[in-house]
Amino acid sequence: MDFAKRLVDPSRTYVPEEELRTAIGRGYYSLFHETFEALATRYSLQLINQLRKQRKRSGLNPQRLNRLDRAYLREFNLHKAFPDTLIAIDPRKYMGIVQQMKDFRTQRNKADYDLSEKFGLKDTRMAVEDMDKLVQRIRQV
Amino acid sequence: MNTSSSSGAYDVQYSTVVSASSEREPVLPGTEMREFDSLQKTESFPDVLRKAEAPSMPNLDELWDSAPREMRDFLRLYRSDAGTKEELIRLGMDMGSYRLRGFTVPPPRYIYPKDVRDFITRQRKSSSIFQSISQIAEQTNLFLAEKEIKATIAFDLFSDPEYTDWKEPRISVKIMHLDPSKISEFRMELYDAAFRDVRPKIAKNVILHVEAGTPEDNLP
Repeated sequence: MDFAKRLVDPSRTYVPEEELRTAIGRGYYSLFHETFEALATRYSLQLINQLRKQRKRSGLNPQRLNRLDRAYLREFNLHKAFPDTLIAIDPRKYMGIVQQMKDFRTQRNKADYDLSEKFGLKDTRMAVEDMDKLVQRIRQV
Repeated sequence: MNTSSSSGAYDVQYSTVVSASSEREPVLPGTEMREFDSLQKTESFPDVLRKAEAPSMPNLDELWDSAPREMRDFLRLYRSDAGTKEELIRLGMDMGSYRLRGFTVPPPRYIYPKDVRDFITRQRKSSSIFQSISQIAEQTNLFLAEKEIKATIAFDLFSDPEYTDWKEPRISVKIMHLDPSKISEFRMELYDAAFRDVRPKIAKNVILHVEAGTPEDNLP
């Protein structure tokens, strides 16, 4: 997140678009890793349950899943599992966080894959600030 | 009494009322809807219509405040560009008179693009999903209308480029004429309002995407 914030620092009056796209991506992945830490340390059972649902029809390795083995978790869609876990914990309390996470996922996808999308400094700076605020909230989950 | 041409939920109620009243006395042709309205217990469009048509028309604020909250919300939804109370009351009166003539009031309609419709239709409990998405859109619209924020609401399909099986219906809200910093001030409040009373099982598979319009749109 620090890197994302540095890229859109208020002292910079011009930032090339590729750096704005990078800032969105870095901000999103900071949020992603913070969410993983928060869920793995405090709500690991709920997280494992959600991941288990993703593999309902195909085989899974319960030992590796229960250990939350990072290499094994790459086979799952954690970007979907994290919001689903938060909803499973408390839908009313975390709906705003969940929707904002999905919103940032959309923005990150645009930043990395959609070249027709234009990124402005003001909007990107705002998005990074919002991601930072969300990280603070996630830490309190 | 011939009610064979009736169909739909509204007409089912209507024919029930007619058959109940016909036990007491025959109903004259053309008076059935008035009969139906007289049996309504809650204040409805025609009630407000009568007030509005009274010779001494009450104060607009009083008239507006006397209408049920659901009706005020509905009218705001139905035509968000009819901003003033007078215009909305007039709209309510028009609807009331349509209903007196035997037409049902058209609900607010959201157009689903074909890919979204097809995607939802393939899901289990698709009717609940359609209903919930409309509810989220309506609650979003109401929230924005109360804050007098102009926006466009459209449905599309979220698909993730890295997980091809991850698709979700998305409600895209594009906010006009507002600085992006203002949007982040009410973003969380908007999510809470939009998803109020929506079942979590459905809500977790729907995305409400809020963004500022193009830079030109955001000029004050």
